[in-house]
Amino acid sequence: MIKRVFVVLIALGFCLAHYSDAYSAESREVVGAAQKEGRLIVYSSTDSSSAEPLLQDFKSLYPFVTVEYNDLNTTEIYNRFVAEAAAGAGTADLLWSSAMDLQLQLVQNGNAQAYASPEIPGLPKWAVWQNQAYGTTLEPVSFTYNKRLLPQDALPQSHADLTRLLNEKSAVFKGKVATFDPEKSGVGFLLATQDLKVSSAFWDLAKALGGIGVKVYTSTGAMLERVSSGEHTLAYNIIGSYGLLRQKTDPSIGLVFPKDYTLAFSRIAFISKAARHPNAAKLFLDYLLSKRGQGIMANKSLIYSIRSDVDGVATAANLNKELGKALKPIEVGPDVLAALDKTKRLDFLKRWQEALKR
Amino acid sequence: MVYQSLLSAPFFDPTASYSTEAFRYILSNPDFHRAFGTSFLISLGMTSIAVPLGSLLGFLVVRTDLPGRRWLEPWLLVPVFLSPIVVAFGYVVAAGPVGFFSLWSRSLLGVVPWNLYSVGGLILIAGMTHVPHVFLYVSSALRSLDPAVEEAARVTGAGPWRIAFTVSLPLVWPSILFSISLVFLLGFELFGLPLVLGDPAGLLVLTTYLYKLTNLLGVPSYQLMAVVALSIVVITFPLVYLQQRLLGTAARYAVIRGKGQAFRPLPLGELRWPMLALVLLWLLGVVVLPLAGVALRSVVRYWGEGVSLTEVLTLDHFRRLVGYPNLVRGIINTLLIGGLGGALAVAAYAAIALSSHRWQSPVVSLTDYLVLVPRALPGLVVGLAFFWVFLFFKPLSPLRSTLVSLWLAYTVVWLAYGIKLISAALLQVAPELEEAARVTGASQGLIYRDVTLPLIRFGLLGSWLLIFMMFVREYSTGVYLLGPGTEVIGSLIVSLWGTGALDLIAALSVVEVAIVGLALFFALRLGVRLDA
Amino acid sequence: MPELVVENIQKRLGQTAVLRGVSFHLNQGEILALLGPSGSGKTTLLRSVAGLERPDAGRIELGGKVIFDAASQFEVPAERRGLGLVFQSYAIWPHRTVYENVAYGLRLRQVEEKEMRRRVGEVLEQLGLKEMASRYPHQLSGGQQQRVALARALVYSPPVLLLDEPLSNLDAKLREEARAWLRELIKQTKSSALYVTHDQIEALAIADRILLLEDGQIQQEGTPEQIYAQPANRFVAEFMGSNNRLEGKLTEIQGGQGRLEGNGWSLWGQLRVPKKQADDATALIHVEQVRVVEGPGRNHLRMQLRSAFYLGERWEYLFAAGDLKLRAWGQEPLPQRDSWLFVPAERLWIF
Repeated sequence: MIKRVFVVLIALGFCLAHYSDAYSAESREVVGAAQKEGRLIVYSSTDSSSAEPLLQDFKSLYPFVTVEYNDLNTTEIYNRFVAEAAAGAGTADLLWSSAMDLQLQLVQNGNAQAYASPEIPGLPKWAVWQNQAYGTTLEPVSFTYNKRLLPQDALPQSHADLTRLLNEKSAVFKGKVATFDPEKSGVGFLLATQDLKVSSAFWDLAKALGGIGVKVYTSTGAMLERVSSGEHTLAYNIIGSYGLLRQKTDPSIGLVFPKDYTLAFSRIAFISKAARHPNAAKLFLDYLLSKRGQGIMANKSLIYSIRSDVDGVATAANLNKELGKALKPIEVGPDVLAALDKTKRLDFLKRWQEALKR
Repeated sequence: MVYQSLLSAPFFDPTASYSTEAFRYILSNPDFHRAFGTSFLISLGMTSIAVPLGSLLGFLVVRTDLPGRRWLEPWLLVPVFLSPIVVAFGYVVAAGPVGFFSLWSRSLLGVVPWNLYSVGGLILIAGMTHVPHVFLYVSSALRSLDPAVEEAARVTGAGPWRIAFTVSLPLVWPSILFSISLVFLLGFELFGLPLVLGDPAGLLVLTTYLYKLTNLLGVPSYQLMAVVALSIVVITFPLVYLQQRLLGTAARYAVIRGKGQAFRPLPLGELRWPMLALVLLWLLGVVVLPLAGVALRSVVRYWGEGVSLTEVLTLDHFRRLVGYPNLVRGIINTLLIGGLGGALAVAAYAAIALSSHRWQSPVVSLTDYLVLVPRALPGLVVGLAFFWVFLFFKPLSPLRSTLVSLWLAYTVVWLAYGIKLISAALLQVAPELEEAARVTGASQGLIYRDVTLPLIRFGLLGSWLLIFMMFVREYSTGVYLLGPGTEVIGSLIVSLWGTGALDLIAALSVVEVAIVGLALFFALRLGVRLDA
Repeated sequence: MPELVVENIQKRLGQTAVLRGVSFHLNQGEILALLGPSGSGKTTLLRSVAGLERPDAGRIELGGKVIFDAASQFEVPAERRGLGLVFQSYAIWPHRTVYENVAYGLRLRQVEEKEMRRRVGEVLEQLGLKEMASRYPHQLSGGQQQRVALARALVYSPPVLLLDEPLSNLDAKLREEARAWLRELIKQTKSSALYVTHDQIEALAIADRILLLEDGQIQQEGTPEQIYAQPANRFVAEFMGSNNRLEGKLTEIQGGQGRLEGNGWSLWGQLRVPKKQADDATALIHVEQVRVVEGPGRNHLRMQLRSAFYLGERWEYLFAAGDLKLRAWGQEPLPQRDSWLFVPAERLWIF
């Protein structure tokens, strides 16, 4: 009998220690309220298999919150949320999407609620906007190439390199390069305009791409597949986390982070103002931003954590070490919204089309 | 949709006001015209391939003594239940610029003589993969032909080809006409194929243009999308009108009376084996090739130029697939929707078909128009439309996140298809069999229960099988109605597509094909015939 | 009281008038044949009585009760009229056994199991189908299927039995035999029957009374003998039996007879319709009325034998004189020479 009591006490002790580790950052009230809510609805563009380790870990921390994880693409998230909010129907509590511009537009329109997360001190200043929008990752954008087929002397290490090589070795690259279509792909547009912001030499690059007949796509997957098979030998502006994931199973894929500058974007999360389970949402947001959650991201999900105090494979620390000043994160803020301005958009696209004319 | 196209902002946005700016923008946009033209061209091209081939195939399988025609038939229908994105990628793996077939051709001939990424390539593949649709309608009509008609021609001295073109096929003209309209409209709805094969070449069709519109202006612009969708609807009306005119007053063709007829196939003579070879060739190109591509992709780690295939074989993808979250639930949901949902849908279609069965009223011809429309609209639009219906139409809202909403959406989208299938079966029931019951004292309801429905039970079963296959393959219609707990295989595939996990997609597709193939096999074993 | 009263039934199908005002009555226990060529409206009439067609005008009474009245838009639906209908194509349900086909009517009337089995058994026995009870229609011959259709219609003892050309799908031999037992069967069951046919011999054999229809109207109504031997008009005369036809001019009229003159011949005949002297006229006589005789006489014609056909049961001769051609029947072969033919005046009908 006493033995049993002991066991129970030790178990309790474990639990308390375990929980208090997490709870130390959380206020009792939030946890209590979340327990009453019991549910959380998330709309996210992070695919289920990458999110799974995070969800499992979160569940072990807060078993009383059932997470309904909706894996949608960025446009679907936007469409669905906007319509549901207008209809006053049940919708997401937390939105987590890699379309920075769409997310910020929603925040700008007043859909987010302000919440000062206790994890803010661990994040870079530019990653939090008005305590409403939070950048949760720092994902570099790379050149991806086919290790088997691309000759070593044709491998570019920087944007300037790339422009030069495309112009000089056009025979090697003719029809063999892929990139995002800024017209059809939101993320493609974002990256292209940010490229332009960092360096006005972007138009030279665009012309060079046009010169060798670049093929444009809307999906990273399609590009990676074609680079791997050799249909293309190089892809420009590939999201690093996908490349990393691919490398795990496919030795043909090589990644280069350009040395002159490497863009990095951030998956933005915000809590909906009309959230029916706001406290559970807070718990989840904090989790995503916590050292623990970011550690899972860096090591299991491979989606590049943003906190500098995280160790692992895909971390901001590694990136900073490798690239230093060349790392150019896209700031979470209204700048990104400039990309949504209709006239500016159409102007950019027009110029892009002209540059691409073969 | 019409309402939305006349607004300046989403219809639920309080700032929306009436304006024609959406129309002005679209109509002056050169891309729109280009996309429209390309879609039109593709539709035209694929119809001119699919309809003649499908009709001929129908004739060969149903009316002649083509060797092996019994076991050939289920295979002919395989392209119908393959997801188009998967098929497209299968082709890329098999015959794309560095596909294994292409590399083989290059090593043999020094050059790859075909280019998949072209309008021609698109038309060819689209045409070929739509042959089964035509085959389905034409073959079921051919089955009810009186063989005496063809024998009369034979006696006069006509060979099998002449009989096909001057007797059999003209007699099933309504089915052929319907197939033409259907395939033409399906051409506008093509999405997966032009996305995978057209994007690299910069080819734009209406659906990929719609897709572009969702991103062009940053935030999705519903009013523009509504205009484009309307442009498609505008095409359907003249098409169906044309169809009605050409059909004229010949409403009923080939009705079987209550007596069975011995079936005597037309002998093909020396053409037997060459014809079989041609059919097998078609099967090879349209079924085996892309399936092989998909299957191959599911068992290799990577592929392409410079890769020796034997070195990269692996079952890893399947192992990872098993561990993928929600996979089992997705498969169960898919089977549920396909099997149970399919059965319910067939019941609904039967009810509708029965009620308009012996009518000749103008209401019936109006429904002919309306019923083709959901099929013609691209999945993107239909998905949104259904989402809005379930969201804003209060009585339906509570059903939104259940499988019921999904079922409803699917059933409506496939309405035309299902009703036509059942109508074809109903036409084969001689009216006297029902009249006899009536005179004996049975009310209309009892007549349906005791006479009509039992007589078409094989038609009903066949329809169930086909609808099952359609529902399993579906994705875009329900994309906004899905949620955790209601995923289906189609949504899993697209979610995987987003991350580029084509290896998993291939593995999942192999699983999907296996499931449907098994269902098909068992159904055929149990005596279900695929003719109506 | 007549079992069935049909008054002034009119029906149009599209532009064509199929029935132009047909009235008749059917007495209890009587078999009335609706006879006529195709397009005469007989099937439409039958189906109107059954309730499967709705006339534009008229009235139908069954057993004294109105079952259809166009004027007051009153109609008893087909399934409640309690009539029996035998279709030309039999329309037996292929997915049910013979027993179930026949029992269906009783099942609808909620007859209890034992009684049902007894009655079905009785009817099947009556029609010689006892052993076929558990077979399916496709396992039966045409004749057997037809009897199943009959059994199905009779099992619930309808007051009126409607038959739509029930024998037309049988081959000739069967048809002859069927004529006999069908009439006997109907008489046995004591039902009244409305029998549609285009075969005049069948009508003559089976019916108690015949209604001859043409183009939606009744041409003549009467017993078989009346229709055959006393045609009211030219159509009736031509429709019944095999006929010889003569065209000529009336040169004399005496009492009810007229003298018809043609190119080189003249014959006295009976005026069936009012005619005047010097009118053009057509005369008809049934082939079997023309007899080969020994020598000249009143209404005797001298003609040459053109050809003779042996039909087994009789000889058929084709005679000619000038442009006049006559057919006659006989029992012996005739020598190829001139013969005298007698054309009885009271059988030569002039119209």
